[in-house]
Amino acid sequence: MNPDLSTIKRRLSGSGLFMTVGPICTKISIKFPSIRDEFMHIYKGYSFSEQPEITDYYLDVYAKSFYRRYVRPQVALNTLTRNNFVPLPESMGLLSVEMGMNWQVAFGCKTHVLFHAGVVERDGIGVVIPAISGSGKSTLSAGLAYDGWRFLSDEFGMLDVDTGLLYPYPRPVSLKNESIAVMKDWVGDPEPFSREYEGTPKGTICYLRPPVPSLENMHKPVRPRVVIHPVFNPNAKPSITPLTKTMAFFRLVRSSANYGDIGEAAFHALTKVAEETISCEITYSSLEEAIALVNQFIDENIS
Amino acid sequence: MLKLTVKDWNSVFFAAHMLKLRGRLASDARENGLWEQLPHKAQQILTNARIIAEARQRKVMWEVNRLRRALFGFEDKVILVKGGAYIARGLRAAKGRISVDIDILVAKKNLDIVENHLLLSGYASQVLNSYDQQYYREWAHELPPLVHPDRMVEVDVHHNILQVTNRLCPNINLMIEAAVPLEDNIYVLSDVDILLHSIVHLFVDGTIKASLRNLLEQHDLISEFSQQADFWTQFMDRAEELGFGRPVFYCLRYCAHFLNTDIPSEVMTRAKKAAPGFLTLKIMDMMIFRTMVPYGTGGSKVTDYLATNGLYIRSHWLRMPPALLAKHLTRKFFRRFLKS
Repeated sequence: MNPDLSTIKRRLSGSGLFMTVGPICTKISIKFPSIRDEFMHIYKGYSFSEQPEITDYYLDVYAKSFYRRYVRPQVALNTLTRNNFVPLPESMGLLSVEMGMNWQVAFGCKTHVLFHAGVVERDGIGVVIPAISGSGKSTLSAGLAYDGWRFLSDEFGMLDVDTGLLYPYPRPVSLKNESIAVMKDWVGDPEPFSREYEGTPKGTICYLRPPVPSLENMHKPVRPRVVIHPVFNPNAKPSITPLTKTMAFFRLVRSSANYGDIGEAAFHALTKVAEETISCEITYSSLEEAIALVNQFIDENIS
Repeated sequence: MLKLTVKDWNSVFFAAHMLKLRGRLASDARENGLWEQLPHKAQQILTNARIIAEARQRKVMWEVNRLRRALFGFEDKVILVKGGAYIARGLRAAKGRISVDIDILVAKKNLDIVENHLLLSGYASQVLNSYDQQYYREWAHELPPLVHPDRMVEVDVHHNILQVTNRLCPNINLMIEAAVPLEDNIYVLSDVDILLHSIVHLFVDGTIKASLRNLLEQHDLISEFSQQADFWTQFMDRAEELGFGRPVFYCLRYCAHFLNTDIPSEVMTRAKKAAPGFLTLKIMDMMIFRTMVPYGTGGSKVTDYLATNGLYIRSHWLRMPPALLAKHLTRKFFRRFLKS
């Protein structure tokens, strides 16, 4: 049972609030009221607790001094593993929260093979969308999520090494630049969006909360069946290029953040994924087109 | 471990993290047969720690492989010390250990040759400031750290285990002569020297802050090596020969105190001959008890601060003669002052 809003706020500003997203529990405290409000908006409906749980990560968002709190407000981050993140101005506060959490997962999580990939599900079919920045991975996973699919993750696909299942880690989607307007149009309702953070190193960033059913099912894993590598090209004709199993394997390795650290177990897990899934590359020029291609590829290849 | 509450688990993991002992905790939980009964979440965190430790150790051993290739043609002894040696020998002290860099010891006359080999193979010095470069070359017991840009594992090339200016700096040739071969020209120190090196590193050169890990390492080495019948005699003889009676006394005293290490009483009696005076020992005890396990004990912050910094100052005091220390610190102070 979630604590009420005032309790959440009190714990966030004080000794810390326990937040569980998928397999990971983080203890968070935020000393800036404006960032606290933005955090509570974008994480509305997530699972919080004031009772301690065995905690994976700690995140402390604070000001280094009185001057940095009130005169030229600047946000500093402390995780147990690192506290020398580049400080951000208070106006970009939520970015540092997200950055801190991503950093800890990227370097700390070894129980699951991590993919830099979106993961979605339809009718029990798990779809992995790995991609480099700028290929439209986030837009496509968010687009599918707000088109009736279940959203599992955007930044980190998590494959359990032992079971070979994909576990949800449904953090807010980070949308960049042109894709913000596309998604606002696609979703129709401004409520699940954060405000837009302009002038970041990656341009303008806006966060989008995943749909409620995806959050409610954040502990339900799914078997990977399909891997889709999106390529955004505004002038291209829509196309689907199937990939061989060998190619599929190497592309998965390339998109994984902790493959080398996990070692042999990760090799076996990815071999299994490459053998048991079908993979393709899709080239598209609009979100509608991409979604149609994904559905077409699945309908034609999975009965 | 089985009776811990959620709060206890978080304290344990927090302390273990700060003391760099999570990997060790994971390894012990498995060996003691407790694993299956631990909460799922605790297993998950310990598994992360185990994999991180294994991955780091793999990296360190791969770096040894690359070093051998870089040193092709150099045929004198290359001695692996500290973590690298524990891993290569499969010692208990390597279990769950998080090793970050790799330390080798070579004879001083070979220092330039080894450095040239490494530079030619693409290793680059991490120290660019000319004062620091000069400081290393003139006073330190090692070259400025070298790193290969493809792998980013720091390699420290030592020619002694203590700075030449340290009043306890030993005749290193004795240790190099006694080293035992591992494979080709890769060597490790003899058992007694491995333990002495660890002790000297902690009680002479180190700052002793949060170093339960190092004490545990000595406990492991003692427990493992003392299975051999003549270990204690050899060890105490060697400690006296190299002039390490005092740090050995500290090691045995605190190992027995914190870790219940099995030390024969006649060894303890012999070690006590090198004990400091009553007052010095009291101060040392006070500082060690406060800094060895500094997290979650709830002691006074002021005394913790004094103890930690007292030990830090002590390590510097031992490292150089006072005039040199003053010169070095003045230089460092002005550099910091000018930067800000």
